Amino acid sequence: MYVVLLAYIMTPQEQAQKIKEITDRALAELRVLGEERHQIILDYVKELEAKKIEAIRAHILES
Amino acid sequence: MTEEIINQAKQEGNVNKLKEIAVEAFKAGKDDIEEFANAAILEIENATKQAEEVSESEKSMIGNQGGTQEEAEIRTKSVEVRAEEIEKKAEEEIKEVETTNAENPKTEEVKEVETPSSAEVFNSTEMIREMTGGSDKLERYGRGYDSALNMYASSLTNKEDLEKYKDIFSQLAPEDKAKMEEGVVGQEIKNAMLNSSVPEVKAKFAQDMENYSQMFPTSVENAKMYSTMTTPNFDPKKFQEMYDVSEQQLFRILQGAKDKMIEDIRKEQNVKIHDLTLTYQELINKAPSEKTNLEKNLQWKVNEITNASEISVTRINEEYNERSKKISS
Repeated sequence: MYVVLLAYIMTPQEQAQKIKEITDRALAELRVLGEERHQIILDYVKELEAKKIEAIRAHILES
Repeated sequence: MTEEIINQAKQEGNVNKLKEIAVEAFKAGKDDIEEFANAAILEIENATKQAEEVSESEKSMIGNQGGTQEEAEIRTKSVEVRAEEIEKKAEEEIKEVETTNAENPKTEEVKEVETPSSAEVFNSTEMIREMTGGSDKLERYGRGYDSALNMYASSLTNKEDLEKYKDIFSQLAPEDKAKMEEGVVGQEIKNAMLNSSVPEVKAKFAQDMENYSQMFPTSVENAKMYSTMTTPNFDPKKFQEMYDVSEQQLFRILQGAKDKMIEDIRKEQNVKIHDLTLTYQELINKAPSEKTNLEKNLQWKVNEITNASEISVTRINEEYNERSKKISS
């Protein structure tokens, strides 16, 4: 029988697994946010398009 | 390795240093989890930037409709803030997992300890696969693997390094190594073509080609082929002289390069669409209520990829036509 110093409560595998879980969750959340940001841009573009069409319409009606 | 070194490398924007650090960790297998934690944090930082960034195609869409970048940034500010929060929270949690054990060591009496060494754990392919989510693609593009691949590329012009790190390089997939070989050898050929009127460069080119031909014969042949399509200011006479080929042979090489480049674009297009579909499927599974919107987004992105590929193919065909005309004129 001999004494060894166990440097970790969790094994490196457990630590790696835990970090991987945190990373996966963060990456999934960031992917969803990226999609949300993209949708905001699409809405902005649609709004610009609508304004442009409205301006054209107004111009035609005036002339 | 300390956090200070990594932070300094990050502050200096020294990507190569960071890659070297990751490669060393990949090779040695560290006694702590620090490298893995730092790699995870970097991955999250990159994903955050990606979530926040307005892509070139989006900028172009906004510009085409007379919108402004500033307005787009104002509208997406809340997403940016939330992305930063996610990043910060994940980084704190990772740091906590990383440091908890180091702060709480414990001593126990045991009869026998039969746990794998850290080196065994971190060097095993199974562990890398587990860490990176279990898919071949992720394993291949995981940080350790990616860094080792970059290390391989930078070692290609140095036989000593190739020998020194052969244990790492033996773990890389042959097709990935081949790509790196073609990239490095191709760049050398391209540079030589651009400066072929300089006698010293010409002499060095001949020497380098001899070395590369011995080490990577297929890559040299491929690089020569691609260079006919990629070297700016295409001068057929220069190519004929450099490669010692006839006009007819040069024409066939050019045609081969064009066909291969188009084939590569099609392959890349298929891979991108495949990966994107899997990612969206995953998102749909997580949020079924968003299925319709996500499917619309997916279709939009698939169309974008397909259009970009078509543009590239058209450009390659145009380039090929111009170059083949130069050969026959």
